[in-house]
Amino acid sequence: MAVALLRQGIHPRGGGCICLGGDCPNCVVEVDGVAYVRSCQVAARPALEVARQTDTPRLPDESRPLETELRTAFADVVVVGQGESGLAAARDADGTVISFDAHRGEEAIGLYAGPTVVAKTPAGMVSVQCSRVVVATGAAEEQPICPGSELDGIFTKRAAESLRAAGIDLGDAVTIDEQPQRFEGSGRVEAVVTAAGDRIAASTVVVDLGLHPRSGLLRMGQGLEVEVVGDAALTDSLPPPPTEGVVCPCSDVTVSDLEAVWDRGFREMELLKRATLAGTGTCQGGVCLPHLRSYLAAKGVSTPAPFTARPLTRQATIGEVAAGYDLPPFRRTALHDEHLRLGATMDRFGAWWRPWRYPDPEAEYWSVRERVSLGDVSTLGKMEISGPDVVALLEKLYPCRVADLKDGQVRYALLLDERGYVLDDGLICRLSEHRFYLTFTSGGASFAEMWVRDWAETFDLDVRILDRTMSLGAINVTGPLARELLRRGGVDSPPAYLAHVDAAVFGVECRIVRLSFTGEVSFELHHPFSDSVELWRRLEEAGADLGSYPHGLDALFTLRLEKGHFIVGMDSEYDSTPRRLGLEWAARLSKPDFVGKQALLRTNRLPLNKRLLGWEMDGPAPIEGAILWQVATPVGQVTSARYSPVLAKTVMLGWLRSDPAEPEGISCDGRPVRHASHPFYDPDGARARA
Amino acid sequence: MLEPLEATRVIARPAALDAVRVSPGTLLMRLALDDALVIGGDVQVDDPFAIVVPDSGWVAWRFGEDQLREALVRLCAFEIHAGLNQGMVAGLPAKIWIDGDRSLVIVAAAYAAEFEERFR
Amino acid sequence: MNEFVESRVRLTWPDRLRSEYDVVILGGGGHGLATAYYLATRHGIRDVAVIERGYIGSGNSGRNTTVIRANYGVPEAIRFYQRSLELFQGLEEETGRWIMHKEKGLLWIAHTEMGLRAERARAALNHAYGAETVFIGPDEINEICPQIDLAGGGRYPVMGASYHPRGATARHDRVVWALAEGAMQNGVEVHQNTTVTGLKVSGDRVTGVKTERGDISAGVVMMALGGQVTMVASMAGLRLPIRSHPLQAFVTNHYQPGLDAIVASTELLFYASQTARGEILIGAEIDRQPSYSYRSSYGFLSSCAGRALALLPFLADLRVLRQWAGICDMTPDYSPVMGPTGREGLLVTTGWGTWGFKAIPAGGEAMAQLIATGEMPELIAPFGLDRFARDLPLSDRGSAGTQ
Ligand SMILES: Cc1cc2nc3c(=O)[nH]c(=O)nc-3n(C[C@H](O)[C@H](O)[C@H](O)COP(=O)(O)OP(=O)(O)OC[C@H]3O[C@@H](n4cnc5c(N)ncnc54)[C@H](O)[C@@H]3O)c2cc1C
Repeated sequence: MAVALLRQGIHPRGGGCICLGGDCPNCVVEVDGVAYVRSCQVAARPALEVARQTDTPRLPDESRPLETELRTAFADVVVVGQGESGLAAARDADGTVISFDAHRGEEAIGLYAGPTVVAKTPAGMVSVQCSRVVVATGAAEEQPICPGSELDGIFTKRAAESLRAAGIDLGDAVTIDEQPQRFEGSGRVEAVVTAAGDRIAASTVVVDLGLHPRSGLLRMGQGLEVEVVGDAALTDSLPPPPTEGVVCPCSDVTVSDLEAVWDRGFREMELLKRATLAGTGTCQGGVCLPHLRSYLAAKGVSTPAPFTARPLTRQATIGEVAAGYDLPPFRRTALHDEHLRLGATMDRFGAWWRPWRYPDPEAEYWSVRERVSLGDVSTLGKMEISGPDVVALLEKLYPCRVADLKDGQVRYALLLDERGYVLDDGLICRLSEHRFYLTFTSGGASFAEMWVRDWAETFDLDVRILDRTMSLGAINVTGPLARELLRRGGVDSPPAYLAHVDAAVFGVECRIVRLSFTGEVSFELHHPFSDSVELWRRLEEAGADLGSYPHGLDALFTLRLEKGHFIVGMDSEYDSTPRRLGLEWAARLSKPDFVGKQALLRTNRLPLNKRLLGWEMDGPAPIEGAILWQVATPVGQVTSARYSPVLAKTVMLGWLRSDPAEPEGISCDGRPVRHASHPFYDPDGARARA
Repeated sequence: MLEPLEATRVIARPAALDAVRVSPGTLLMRLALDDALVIGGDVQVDDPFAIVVPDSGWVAWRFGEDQLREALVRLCAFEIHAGLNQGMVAGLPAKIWIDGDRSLVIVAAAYAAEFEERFR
Repeated sequence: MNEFVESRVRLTWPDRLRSEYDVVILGGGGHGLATAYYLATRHGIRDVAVIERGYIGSGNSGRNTTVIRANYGVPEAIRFYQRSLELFQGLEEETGRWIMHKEKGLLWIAHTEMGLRAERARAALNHAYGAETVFIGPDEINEICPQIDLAGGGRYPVMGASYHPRGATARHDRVVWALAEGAMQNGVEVHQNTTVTGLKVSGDRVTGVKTERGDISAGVVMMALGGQVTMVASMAGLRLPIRSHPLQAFVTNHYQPGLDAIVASTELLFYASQTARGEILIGAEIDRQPSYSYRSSYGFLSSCAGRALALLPFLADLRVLRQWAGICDMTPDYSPVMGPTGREGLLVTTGWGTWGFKAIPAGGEAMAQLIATGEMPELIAPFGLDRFARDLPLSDRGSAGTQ
């Protein structure tokens, strides 16, 4: 493109020495709205819109759809640069070879661990994992640094050769082979004053000032299997120290700028760069680096090292580097479409899509409290675990007793970390002597799996572990009529409270687990993923005349809060010990050992600095996160707050960040709140056990 | 395009899994030392503590090998070899089975919708 | 000349390293230099040496994405960062140097009901403890930052945000230099290219440091060794509850101003702002694997770019200039550690993780006060190393997701 423009007598940038090697910023233009494109590195095509770039381009107003693709490839050797040395390296290399060359529009943008070479090519982005990289990027021609270097009509030797080869007449070109004193002219060069002081009139000056290895990729690859060949391996000889003019055309930094900061104490290469911004533009030091080094050398800094080479060596757009990246996936339960059919508003909770609310929130709530309701709890973490040492492992993992559980029994349990902080909670169901079924919170499931495996390894215990989170669905049938609905499904003897049975419900094999999060009689039906829809529909049909209506997360949060159940991560914090949560009963310190026990023994003796307490107030619920005030002092924060329809008041959980015996005079949202013991609803649990 | 996969999941002692033989036509994918996914057949494993359960939590996309390899070039960042491959495909955890006409890609059913969108 | 050439700061370097100073500060990053600055300017303690293995600011203080904010998640942190934010507001006037400090407002976007809940709670807590943060809806977000795609690319719908109007940025190097110059003008010696190789210990007391250029005795030694603190601390037999992880960022070419606010999303794990020069600066979370490697990864660049585009699609055509990494000291509770170490004569300021740039003035001010008075200032008392043993961690992971 640069050649095409020059053929028309148009300097792409308006002025500045043209190198056609991709080493300088002097030919940048805006192509199809993308600024900072080096016109010497892109092929001209019909219909491309090319515009002269202003010094500081405007931010784009809108976005285009992303079209670039990323291909991952594998090779023994990657050769970057296909000049003579690169061709030879590719020819001689053992094994598979992939090569890139900027002349073919393939620009290596970075060298990463692996080694991995990433290149931008006409076909898209390519990432190659290989065993060895050969850097054959050649050398860049030295740019003139002197007053007038911003004029039009200055070309490097190679650029001049290319232009002539393309049939472009450079007229009465004069060639100089030493850094000149200055160029003269306005707009276009009219004369050059050589180092020796001779003034030579010319409308075109060709500069042949020597070469500097393009060592960016090599330096970036330090510590990796990278080899350098050809001109890229040249030892870099420093140019004469610059005395006047622009050193860094990207950032418009002059020699006097360097002088000024040098004089004020900026004497490291990095400080010089950072204080002037030299080397921080499009060419990343391509033009200025040799001159900066030479400048410092002249000041007595011995062997000034180049500044750190960082990707990108050649530029790509944000859209281009995003190619091939896929945003994190969201999981769907088998019932996703059922929820949509029922008009649910779906929301993401952790990794999953879940129904947040159905069209009739009143019915969601009251069907649970007064009739029967279905809730999709497929997202719960679920694990099957067996083995000769399974009891030993679970006794170590959980702070509650496990060995005394009988087959068919269920126990609620916390999971603690080594500091005694609550990680998660869930159920322990004993299937048989050496086999258990565990549940975890939806958010904690993947962590829990690692946690259980880790400890099994640590204690060297013989167990088999299967995470079933994604292969089992679970539907919670909850409400006073839950038992009736199950009966209609063919379950005549449902499990007692805190028990589980395996039984078919409407012909679907289920593990029926009975506990209660909502406060009403609840049966969790765990079943094969592929049977979820069938089971849900049959339950829905059979429950219709019982007044069944499904409930989403929003309603569930109210229902469980009325029961005072905390939710890990919503109500608990990182440092929530059982004591801080008011769940001391859940950690049986008389057990010989469990993860977190030593910490609890120690920290339980320290003063209690905060407690999760139950609160109630009149009127509507404040936001979750509202501050608890004691007169004008903030003393805590609400974590959950809901207006309870059945209790006709607002109930809350919230942290009190001090330990008064009985918190007095607390307000929230400008209204008085009362500390209240929880469960707020059905405190003795008669309904759940019914 | 994606079909539910009715499989059996077997978690057992590595040695017991090593010794498992399946009938012709049954596909046994060794997901880990102690973990196998068995498709289209029964399995007996000599470990009294083994967990052997039906597993319907997967969906599969069956494909010819060439077609599959071609599609995967854009979608995964690791080299695919014959037999079982496990890794991210289009940002989703997937298992790829390469065996001529019987090649397939498997993802958790919970990702089926996302997978379909990404694996166009 | 571009307008960003540093035209005022004058750095003066000492000729030789003496063998004794009242105070020796290890690490010439923002925290070390700020402590020296406040020691000299507020407390008249001038017999101070700052020992830096590279050039000043060569650690994270010259690599960060410069977000200054006080919208934290625990009361102690809000108070502390609010103090720092206020000191930053006055730093240009105090030092007479242009640090490119600019208040931009920070939007912390929520894409789910849980996200909304977190941002509402943040706003309430901030407000109660003196930092200005409000919860706003999509319309207001659109007014503050019209470039945000409210549909979030279809996957991350913008449901609301907490807005922190005092959120600001400043040029990292300029902050380092302004503080260094101020310290130097008041007699502090800053020794570059001097690596600390050991601590001099006598019994339970640290009496000085060993360096490549000779030993130094000191009344007080303070470690401000971002990224390296565990290694030096171990020289005094001290183990710190810290793991070091790389944190990466990238920057584009410069463009005219247009992205006025700082935009962050916990769920998308990225944040973006436009520098004074006009570059778009984008960062994300730490690499999961602990490491001391400064090597950038393409995986980071690609994924961070992809996530940023979900919310700010107009960035697609901007050209990426450079990516880099720093090494962040992470504490278990995502809060910093300041104060005594349990070894007499040895203090530490660390655990600055991905969030310590904004803390430079307040951290330095408080550590200077501690050195000068021997007493933990109230503002930082909760941040002592002993908080872990006392089971009083300051858990603030939710505030660290973005810097
Ligand atoms: C990519 C990135 C983005 C970030 N973004 C933000 C942000 O937006 N907002 C925010 O508030 N924070 C941010 N941070 C964090 C912030 O940069 C750091 O917390 C802060 O700079 C720490 O300052 P410091 O002085 O403690 O450490 P540093 O600046 O790292 O200084 C430590 C110094 O000690 C020197 N040193 C090390 N070892 C030795 C030795 N043996 N002898 C002598 N000297 C030694 C180092 O050379 C270094 O100069 C970011 C960090 C990174 C990496």
